Amino acid sequence: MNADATLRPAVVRTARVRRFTRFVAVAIAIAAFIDPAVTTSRSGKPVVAVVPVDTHADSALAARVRESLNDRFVVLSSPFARADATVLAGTALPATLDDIASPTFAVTDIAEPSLHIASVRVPASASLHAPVHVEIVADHRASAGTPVSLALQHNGVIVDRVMDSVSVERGRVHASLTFVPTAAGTASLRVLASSGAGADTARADVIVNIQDVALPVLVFDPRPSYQSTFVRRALERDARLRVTSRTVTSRSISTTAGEAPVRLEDAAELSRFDAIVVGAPDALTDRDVAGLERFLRERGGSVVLLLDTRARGAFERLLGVRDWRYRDVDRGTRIVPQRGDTATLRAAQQYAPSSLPDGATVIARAHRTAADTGAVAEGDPVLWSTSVGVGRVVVSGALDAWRYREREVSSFDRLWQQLVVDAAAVAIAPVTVELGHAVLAPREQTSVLVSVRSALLRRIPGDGASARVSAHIESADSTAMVRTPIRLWPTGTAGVLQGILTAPAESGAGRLVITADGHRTETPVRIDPTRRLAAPDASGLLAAWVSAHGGQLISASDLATFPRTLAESVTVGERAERWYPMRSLWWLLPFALALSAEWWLRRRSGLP
Amino acid sequence: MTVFTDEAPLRRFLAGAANRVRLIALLEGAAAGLFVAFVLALAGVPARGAPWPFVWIALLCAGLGAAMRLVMTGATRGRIAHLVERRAPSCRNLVITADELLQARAGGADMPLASAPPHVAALVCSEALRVVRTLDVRVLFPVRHAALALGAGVALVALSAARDTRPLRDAASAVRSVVAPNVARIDEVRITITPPSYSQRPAVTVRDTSRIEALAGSRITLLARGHADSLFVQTLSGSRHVAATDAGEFRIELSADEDGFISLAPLLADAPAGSPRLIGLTVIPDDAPRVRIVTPGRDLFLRDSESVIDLAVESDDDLGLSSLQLRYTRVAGSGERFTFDEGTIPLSVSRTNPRAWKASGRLALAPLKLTPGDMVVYRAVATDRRPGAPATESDAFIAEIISPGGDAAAGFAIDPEQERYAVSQAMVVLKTERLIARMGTMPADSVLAASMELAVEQRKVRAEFVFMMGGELLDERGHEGHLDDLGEEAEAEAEDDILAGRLENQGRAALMRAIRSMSRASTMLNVAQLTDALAAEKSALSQLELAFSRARIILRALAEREALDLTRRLSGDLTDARSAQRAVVTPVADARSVALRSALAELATIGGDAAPVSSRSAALDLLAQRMLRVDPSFEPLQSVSTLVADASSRDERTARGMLERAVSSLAAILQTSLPAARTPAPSLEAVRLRGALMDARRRAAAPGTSGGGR
Repeated sequence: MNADATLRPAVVRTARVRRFTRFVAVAIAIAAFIDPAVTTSRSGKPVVAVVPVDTHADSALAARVRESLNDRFVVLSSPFARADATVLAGTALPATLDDIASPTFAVTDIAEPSLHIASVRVPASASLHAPVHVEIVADHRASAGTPVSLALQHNGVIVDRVMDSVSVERGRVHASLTFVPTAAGTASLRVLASSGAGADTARADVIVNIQDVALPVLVFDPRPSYQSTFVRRALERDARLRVTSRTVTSRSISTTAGEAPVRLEDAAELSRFDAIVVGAPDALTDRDVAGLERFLRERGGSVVLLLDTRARGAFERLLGVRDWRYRDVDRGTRIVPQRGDTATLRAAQQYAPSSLPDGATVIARAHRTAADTGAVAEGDPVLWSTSVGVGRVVVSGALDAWRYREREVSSFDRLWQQLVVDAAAVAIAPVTVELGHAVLAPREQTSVLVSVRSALLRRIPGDGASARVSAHIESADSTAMVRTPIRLWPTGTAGVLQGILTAPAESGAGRLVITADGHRTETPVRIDPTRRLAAPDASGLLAAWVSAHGGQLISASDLATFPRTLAESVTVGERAERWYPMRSLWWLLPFALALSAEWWLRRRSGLP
Repeated sequence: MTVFTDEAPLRRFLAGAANRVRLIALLEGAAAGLFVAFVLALAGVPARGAPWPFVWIALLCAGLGAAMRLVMTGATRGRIAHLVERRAPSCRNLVITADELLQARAGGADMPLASAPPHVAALVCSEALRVVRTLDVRVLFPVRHAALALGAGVALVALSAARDTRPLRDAASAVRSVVAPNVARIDEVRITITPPSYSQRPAVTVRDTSRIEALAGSRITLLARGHADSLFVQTLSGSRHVAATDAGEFRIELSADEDGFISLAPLLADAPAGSPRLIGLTVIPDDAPRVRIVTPGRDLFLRDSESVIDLAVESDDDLGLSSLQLRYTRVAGSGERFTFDEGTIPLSVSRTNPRAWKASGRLALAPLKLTPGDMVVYRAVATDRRPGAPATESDAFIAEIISPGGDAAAGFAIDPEQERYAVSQAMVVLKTERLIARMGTMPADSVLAASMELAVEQRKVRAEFVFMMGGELLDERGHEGHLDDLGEEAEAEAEDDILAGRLENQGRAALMRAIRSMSRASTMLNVAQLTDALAAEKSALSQLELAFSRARIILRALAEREALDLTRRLSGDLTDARSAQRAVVTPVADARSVALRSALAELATIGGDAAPVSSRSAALDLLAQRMLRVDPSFEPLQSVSTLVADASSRDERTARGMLERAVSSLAAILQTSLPAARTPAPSLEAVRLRGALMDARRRAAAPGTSGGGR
């Protein structure tokens, strides 16, 4: 009796415990089945964006960085503005810093070379009939005076070299090398830099589209003009220009070469030309000037006005000149270009604005020689230019420069040829294409910016101008020509579209073809897995930048300790986060313990 | 004085030692000189192929070296005892002491050991003699090293001198024959350039050169040796095959007439043509002599027909002058009755050197019997020694006896001033006004001279209008009269025109009045009556303005024989005027640039080709020839051509370097004939921004616009 009385509470307690353990196990199982989601304000794993600077060259390093951070961070593989930190993989700053979150770290995996080719400036296209200047800037971390050799290679042959004559000052070397094209087509050029008997080397690849295309130029004389006649003859001798001309000698009588417009009123007719050279502009009518203005504003062309008298006229409204100054010197004085060109004019009758219009640019000034001392001083701006909309107007006030056109006296032909070629070259093309870079690694991406002139320069903004634009890249694989379309998106500016060009997988030459409003533009690209691009020595800049953004420069050899360094720098604030408590593996432990305890208690109680 | 018995042998020993040291110095100096000569030979002094000059230079260097070394070792030899002691320390200063004792005996009381007791001195000398008898001067001062150095120097000099001699060349040729037995080749080309005899320059012989320069008319003799049956010789003027002489050489004779090249290609019967030798030829022309009259060096207008003009003449030539004369032409008369007499004035020539002469002489006008209006034209004439060369004349000057209203005869009197066509009546007026303004500050004779110069200008202007009017109708007798005062002859000649009323044309009359006013002005300027002259000049100017305001009428009223040739004056019936259409001008490519561009493209292709350069030797040789043909005398192109021609015969690495240099140089040459690269265009965005800014500024600055407050 007493024994039973003594045992009963123990049995009851055991039964309660057994029921409790059973309840816990079932509760865990039910909760796991339901898998409830809970949103709480809490500190989660930091989110880190790991961004390769060069999608081709730095992708392997970026993968290593991601792997090292995966355990402790949520790792994204593209820039994310709301990330807790950004890690740049590479040795330079990325082209765009949008969406780069701070703090920012940079991981570099190679020993920085001391010699970099920082930039290579070369025109995207050039004439077959003129040399191509390649402007090079190289950075060299060496003591001042260290010699650097820069060479330009074309098809494996050095075509120009600057050796031992370039000294290093403040770590930067500037040089200009020249490539003389021998045939039209795409010229692949390679810039080679070396220092210290070849111990430090660097290279950069560029391409130039060499064209044997003459720029269309109209020479229009509303009345015969000596100045214009001799300028036209000079232009007709230049293979870079195709000169169409009309000289109005009397009412309804004129001399023409090519299909020249009768008057300058029709802007559509004028749009065939990149530049219009007008002789005797004082004889232009108001309607002619209106046509020229439309040519300047809507076509983006260039107009060269060759004054030959002091007469004023409707043309002045293009220029914004209030007063003119006239000088007549006994013998012609030299008219010297401002930008160091050796070509000079000579003129006795000089006509120049009393004060240049705002924003006008002086091309050449007359040189004055003091009668008493013989000292030479700069005089009036006889050749100058101004802008009308996107067009450019060049004005010559060297009224009688044609009298001094002999080669021994002046560089009449050379100067006018160069001036008109420059003027025609800046005229806006129907379709303008800007590539991030034209030498690409296979599958590398670069930006494409397409400007369609007809839409960009429409006269009334928002008048609904439209243009059909298509883009694709053509490349040859082992079997056939491959056309890969490129998607273009409008930008904030009407007439300007942008897109991403992904290079084909096959090495070799390719071309980006843009078609817009019936105009087709081909831009050559080159696919080369070994390509190197000019890139400034940005290690200092990169270090400063990451330091300013709360991070630091990390060597790839320190990747093992990097997660800890990064974690110390990252401040993860509390944020609302949905989480699933039952997805933790730790629940297995109480679940198993509960089931085991329940089973053990049952056996102890003699239950089955 | 005590006589040391050991003194003489001791002195003989020391003298022998000094001689030995002198010999060594001579040998060392000569050896050093020979080494210097060898270095000079390596540097190309003298040029290769001149063994004897080199031998003489080597001997000179050796002599100079020996002399310098002797001078340098002079002090050492003066202290020969010290040298002996240094070489033989066992002497323990005995030789030095003995030497000083001997010098003290010879030199007197002021020597350091002059006061040494005789017996001590004798003992020292005796001991010194004992010691030196154990010494051998040849061992003490061996000449072996110096002799070896001299021998090496001689060997080097001999080698350098003999490198161009036949035995060595034959040996080299023999080696090549063994290495490449059946390949046609040229081993040596010896070129002798013999200038024309009149140049009095010696013949020059060069060997194995890639470029020669020869005076025009020189004979060029090429003697080529090698392994070939015949030579294929190409020049700009043609090509031919040359067979070997009996001596196994190929002899080519050429004349240096124009720039070009000589290509020698060896041919063997059963083998492909060998690598050709390409030799650029630059012909230096014999310049014509230069001659000028230094004094007076300008036209003279004289009142006195018996003046004497002092003359000074200078002349020079690149090779040598042959003669120098002063010739004159006496011009007398007027109208159709001009008479011309020519003569020569003796000059006193002083020859500074064969190439530069100075001469002086006196031109006396009295014997020429010049009357007012007559003149003498004189010029210096020089010839050089080139046979058949035309004489060179200096500028011609005139000495004119002035007469009122007289014109300088056209054709030989007027100085071809560059401003000739800029001289206008208005300018004559302006210059006269200026002269009047300056009159007060000038000496009278200067005013007269300046006034006479103005008279000449006035006559030039007048002559232009006289020429324009036909000239013949002007009747000098009627200068001062009315238009109707024409002479009878002139009137008869112009009868048709008078009947037609053409001479009554006001424009023509104004022009004639202008001409007459100019005549009056000229007359007054000759006597420095400037105020009156100015009035006449202004009258002429106003008449000219009147005449040209009726220009069309003048043209219509021209007499038959003055009628303009309309076919030459691009004039015609206005109703026939039509618009003209001409083709668009296609620029003519510069042939030189095209050829150079093509050569550059080919050179770059070969340079970039992975195939060995030596395998492209034929193409490179042709390319080198093509480049030389473009501009044979252009030295940079010659250098490029040489690089290209030589590249295939070098090892691969050197050849690649040479081709790269050739490409760079050729590109630089081509660049000079191309226009400048165009200026980089700004970005489209920059252009738009700039345009918008300019428009905004212009709107703000426009009158009536309240200047943009934003």
